[in-house]
Amino acid sequence: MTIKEGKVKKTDTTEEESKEIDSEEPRIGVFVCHCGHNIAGTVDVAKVADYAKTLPNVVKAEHYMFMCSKPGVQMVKDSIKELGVNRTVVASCSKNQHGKTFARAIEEMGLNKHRHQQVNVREYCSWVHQKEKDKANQKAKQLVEAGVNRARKLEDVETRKVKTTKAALVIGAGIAGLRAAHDMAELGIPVYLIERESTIGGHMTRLNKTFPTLECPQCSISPLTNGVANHPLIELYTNAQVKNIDGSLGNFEVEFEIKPRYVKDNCTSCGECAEHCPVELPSEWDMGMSMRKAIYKAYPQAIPATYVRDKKNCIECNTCVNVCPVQAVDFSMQPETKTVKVGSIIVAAGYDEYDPTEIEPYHYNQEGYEDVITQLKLERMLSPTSLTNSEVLRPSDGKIPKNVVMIQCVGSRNDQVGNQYCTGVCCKFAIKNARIIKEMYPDTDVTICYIDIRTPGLNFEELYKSAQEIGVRFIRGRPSEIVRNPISGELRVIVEDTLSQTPLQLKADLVVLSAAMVPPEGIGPLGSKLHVLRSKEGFLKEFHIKMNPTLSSKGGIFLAGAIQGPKDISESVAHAGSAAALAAAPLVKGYIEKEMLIPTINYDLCVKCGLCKTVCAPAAIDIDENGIPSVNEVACKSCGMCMPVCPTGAIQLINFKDDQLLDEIIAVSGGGAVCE
Amino acid sequence: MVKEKTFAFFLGCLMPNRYPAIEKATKFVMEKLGYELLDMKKAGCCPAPGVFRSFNKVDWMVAAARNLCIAEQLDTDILTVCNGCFGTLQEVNKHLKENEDHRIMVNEKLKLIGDYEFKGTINVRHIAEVLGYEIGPWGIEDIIVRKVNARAAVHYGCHFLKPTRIREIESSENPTIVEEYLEALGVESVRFKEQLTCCGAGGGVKAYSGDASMTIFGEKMKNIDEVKPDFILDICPFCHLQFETGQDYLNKNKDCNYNYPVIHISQLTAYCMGMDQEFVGLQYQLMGKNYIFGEREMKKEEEVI
Amino acid sequence: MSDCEVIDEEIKEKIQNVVVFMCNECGQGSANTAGVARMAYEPAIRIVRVQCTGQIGPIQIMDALSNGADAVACVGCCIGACHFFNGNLLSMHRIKLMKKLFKELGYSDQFINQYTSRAAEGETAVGDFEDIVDRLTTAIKEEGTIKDEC
Repeated sequence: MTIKEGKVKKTDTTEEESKEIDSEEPRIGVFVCHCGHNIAGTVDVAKVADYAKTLPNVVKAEHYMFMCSKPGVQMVKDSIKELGVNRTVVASCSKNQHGKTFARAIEEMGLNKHRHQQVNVREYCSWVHQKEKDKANQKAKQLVEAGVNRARKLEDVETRKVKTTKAALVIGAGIAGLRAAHDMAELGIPVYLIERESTIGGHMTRLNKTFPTLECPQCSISPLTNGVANHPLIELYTNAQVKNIDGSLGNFEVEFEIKPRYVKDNCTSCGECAEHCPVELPSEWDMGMSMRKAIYKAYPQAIPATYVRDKKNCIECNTCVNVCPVQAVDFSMQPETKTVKVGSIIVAAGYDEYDPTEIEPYHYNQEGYEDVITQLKLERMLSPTSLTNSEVLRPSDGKIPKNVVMIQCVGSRNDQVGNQYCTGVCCKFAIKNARIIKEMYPDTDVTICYIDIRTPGLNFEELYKSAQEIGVRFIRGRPSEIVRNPISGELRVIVEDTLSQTPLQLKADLVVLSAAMVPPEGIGPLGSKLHVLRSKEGFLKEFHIKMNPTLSSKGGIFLAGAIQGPKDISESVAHAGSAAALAAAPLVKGYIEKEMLIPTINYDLCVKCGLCKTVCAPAAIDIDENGIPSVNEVACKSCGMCMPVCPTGAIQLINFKDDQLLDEIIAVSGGGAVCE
Repeated sequence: MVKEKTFAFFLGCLMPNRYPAIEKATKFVMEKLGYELLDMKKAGCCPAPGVFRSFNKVDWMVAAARNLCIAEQLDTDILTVCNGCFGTLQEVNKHLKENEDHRIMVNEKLKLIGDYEFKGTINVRHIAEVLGYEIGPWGIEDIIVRKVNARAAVHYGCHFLKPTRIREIESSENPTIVEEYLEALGVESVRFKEQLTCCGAGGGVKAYSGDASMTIFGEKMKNIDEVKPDFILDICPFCHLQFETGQDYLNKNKDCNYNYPVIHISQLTAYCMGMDQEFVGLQYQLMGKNYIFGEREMKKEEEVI
Repeated sequence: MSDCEVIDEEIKEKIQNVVVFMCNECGQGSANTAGVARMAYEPAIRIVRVQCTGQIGPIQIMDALSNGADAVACVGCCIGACHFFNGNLLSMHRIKLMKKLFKELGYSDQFINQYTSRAAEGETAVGDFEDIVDRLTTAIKEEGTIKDEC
C-alpha cells in the first residue's frame, strides 16, 4: 500500500488493456459449507460441490462442515498455495457475516481481497426453502454458478491512503461554529473561521437570557469568543463569505471573499468615530431597538472590536477619518480574496428567524399593527442596551402593555403556510420570556396561546410549572387572527380556548409571535457550492438522522448546529463537538484510507453527454472544459448510479461492470449450465 | 377566444325579484363602458353555494354547469353582480376545468336534461372586479360625469374573495380593490371594527335561524353605527337584502334607530356615470329613502404642454 | 381447491426464475433478516446483490429477461433512507418508464417491478417477493403466457 496525494486522476482503460491485465488464467476454488445442519439439512452440499467442479475454470471444489472455522479457512488458504487458485468462492452464509473472514484470509496469502466472492446459500436458500428441497438444491446450484461466473472476472481493487491537509475551515461563527473551531484548534489543527457578519457570536449574543437558568448569554459565550479570537491556531475572518470550493474529502481548496471594513486593524475601539458620525439609523442587529451610526460596532462587547463602516449609508463627510486618533479609518480598502487549503469543512451557518409577514391574519409588519412583534425583538427590548432601557414597551406609543399575548407555532406545525415541522425551541423561550415579563410587571396579564406545550429535558417542566405559578395564563388554541379596532387602535387576538370550547377575544396591548427557526438566507447558493444535499425544509441534510447527524451528504463536509435543523444552544454545542471530532479525525491521523471501488471510463465510447455527472449525488464526477469526464476517486461512494445513465456504457463501476453482472444474471435466470 | 367586450348577464334570483334597480343600474353601467350584455335564456338559480352544495354537491355542480353551458353556447364570459352566484359559478367553472373525472360525470348527467356539454371555454366575472381591476380607478375617471362626496362603510361579503386559492382576485385578509375603486368615485371608505365579517344572511343561516342571522347582523350594524357613514356599500344583492331588512328588523325589535341607505356598487357607478338619482331606486328601498348623493368637484387633469 | 386456485398453482409451478436485484443496504439486509427468521418464500426467487438499485438499468433487466428469467424486480431502501440519497428514487422512475415501454410494445407490464424494504424487517422482503409472484401469476392468467414472446 502506498501513500499518494489525493489528486483527481483520469482513468482511461480501453477494453484491450483490461483484457491484458486479466490475461492470467482464472483458477477458481469453490468451497461449499454445511454450516452444520443449517445448510446441509436442506441442500445436498456434496452434489453442489460436484456440480461446481464441472464449471469452467474451477480447479477445486470442496464441501466442509464449517468453512468459517480455522481448518475451513485453512482449506481456502491451502488451495491458493498448492493449486494456484487466484479467485475464491465460498458458498455459505451472508457476505456481511463472513465475507470479510475469507477476504482477509486470501489477502494473507497475497491475493487482493476483492478476489473473493461470497455466495449466500443459507439466508437466501437453505433457511427459507426448507420444505422444498428439490427446488432449493436447484437454486443453490444456480447461485453457486452465478458466484463462480462473477468470480471469474473479478479485478483487483486497491486500498489507497490519501494524505490529508492538516487544516480545517469553519463556515459561520455562531455558537456552533465557535465551539467546533475551538475544539479542533485544541487538537492542534489550524482553523480558518469565516463569518458573514462583522461580529462573531451569532444569534446567541442577541438573546437577553437563556433558558432554563436565565443566564446572560453574552457572559456565557464571552470566554469562548475571546478564546477563539486569541487562539494561535485560529484565523478569524469576519465580513467574509465563501466564493468557491474545489476538491474532496481530505483536500479542499476554498476561495473566500472578505468585504472591506474600511477600518484598519489598529482600531482601538475608542468610539470617537461613531460619536461624531452624523448619520444615524436603526440597528439591524438590535432589530430596531437601538440606533447605530454609519460607522459602528454592532454592540459593545462585539468581537472583533474593530469598528465597521456601512458604505451604503455613509455620506462620506470624512468626519470619522479626521477624528480617529490612530488614523484607522480608510475608505480606500478593497475587497480581498483569499484561497486556503483545508482537509475538512464544517458548515455552521446557523438559522434565521421566520418572517411572519406571510401569515396575513396576524398582520405582522403592517401599518397600524406595530405592536405585533416577534420573540427576537422582545429579547432585544429586554436587553440592557435597548432603546427602552430594558423595559417592555409598546412600539406604537411607548407605554407599558397591560396585556401581553404570545402566540406559539408561528410558521411551525402549519400545513398551509410556513413550515410543517415543530421548531422545538419556541415553547421554552416563550415561557422563559413570559416569566420575565410577569416578574417585571406583576400587574400585566401575560397569556400564551399554544397548541401543545413542549418542554422536554431536565429543568424545563419545572420552568413551565413556575411560569404557571407566577400567573402566566395558558390558553390552548391557535389564534385565527389579530384584529384591530380602526377607531381606537386596540388589538385583539381571536382564539378559541379548545379545552373549554369557548371562543375568546383577548385584549392585547402587545402581541409577541414565537416565530420558527428557518434555514438562513443564502444557504441555497452556499449549499450548491459545497455540493451538499438539503432536506425538503431547506436545512442541510445529515448523512443519517440517527447514526450520523453531523456528517453531510458529502464526505469531508460536516454540519454543526442549527444549519442541520432547529435546535437550542445546548444541542448546538453538543452537535458542534461531534462535528469537530469527526472533522478532526482524518486530519489528526494524517491520511484517509479508501478502497478504490470506483468507475472506469472508456474514452473511446464516451460521447461527452455529461449525464454521469448529473446523477452523481456526491458530485464525484468532474467534467472539464472539453466535456471529458473524470472520476474523483476520493469523493466517489461506489454506488454505481452513473452506469445506467450512460448511453454507451462507457462508464463502468469496477467489479460491477455490465459484463460482470451479466455473467451472474445469466446463471440465476436459468440460462446457465443448469437448465430444466 | 370568447367574444370581446361582451358578457352573458347572469341575473340570479334576488336581483330581478327584489332589486330591479340594481339590474337597471348594471345595464346602464355596462352600456356606458361599451360592453354588450346578452340575456341568458333558460338560466336558472345558480344554485346557492351554501345550502344547495351542502345537500348534494354533485347535483349542485350539474345545475351550475348547465348555467355555464348556456354562456358557453353564447361564446361569452358570464357577468354576475352577486357574491353568491359568483361563488357558485366561478368555483364550479374552475373545478370542472381542472378535474377531468368530475367533468365527465357532470357531462353525463347534463345529457339527461338537454343538449348541454360543459367544455370549459369561458370565465366567470364579478362586477366588482370588472370595475375594480379591468376598468380600475384609473379607467373609470374618464367615463364618470360626476363624483359623489360621501363616507361609506364598505362590505365585501364572503364569496367574492374567498377562498383565495380559488378566486385568485386578492388577499381576503386586507382587501382594497373595492375601496380603491370607490375613491375614484369620490367615496371615502371608513374603516369599522371587524369589517370583514359575514352579513349573517348566507349559508342558509337566514332561512334556518333568523335569530342567529340577526345576532350576527346586529353586531355588524353596531360596528358600522360607530363610524356613522353616509351609506353602506355592498357588492351582493343578498347582503343588500340583509342590510335593508336587517336594519328594519333591528329597529322594530331591538330598539335601534338605523336608517343607513344601502347601495350596491352598480347603483353608485351608474349614478356617477350620469344616471338620474331617481333610478338608483332608494325610494323603493326600506332605508335611507330620502338620501341624496352629495356632489364633489371633479378636477380635470391639467393639460401637459 | 377452486378452479381459480388450481390454475394459480399450475401457473406458479411454471415460474422458475425470478431475478431480484437487492441493494447492499436495506435490500439484502431485509432478505438476510428474513433468512435468519426462517421465513419461507417461493424458491423461484433468485437474489443478486448490487450496490444500489440505482445501479440497475435497462441492460441488466433485459439481460435477465432474455436469459430465461420469468420476471425481474428491484428491491431498494425505503424512501428517504437510500444510503446514496436518491438511488431508490432513480430506480423507481426508471422502472416506471420501463413498464410503460413494455405496455407500449404489447407486453405485460408486470415483468418488472420496484419495491422497497427495511433491513430490520424480514417480512418486508418476503412481502415483496410474494407480491412479485402474485402479480406475475395474475398477469399470466389474464394475458396468457408472456414468457415466450419476449
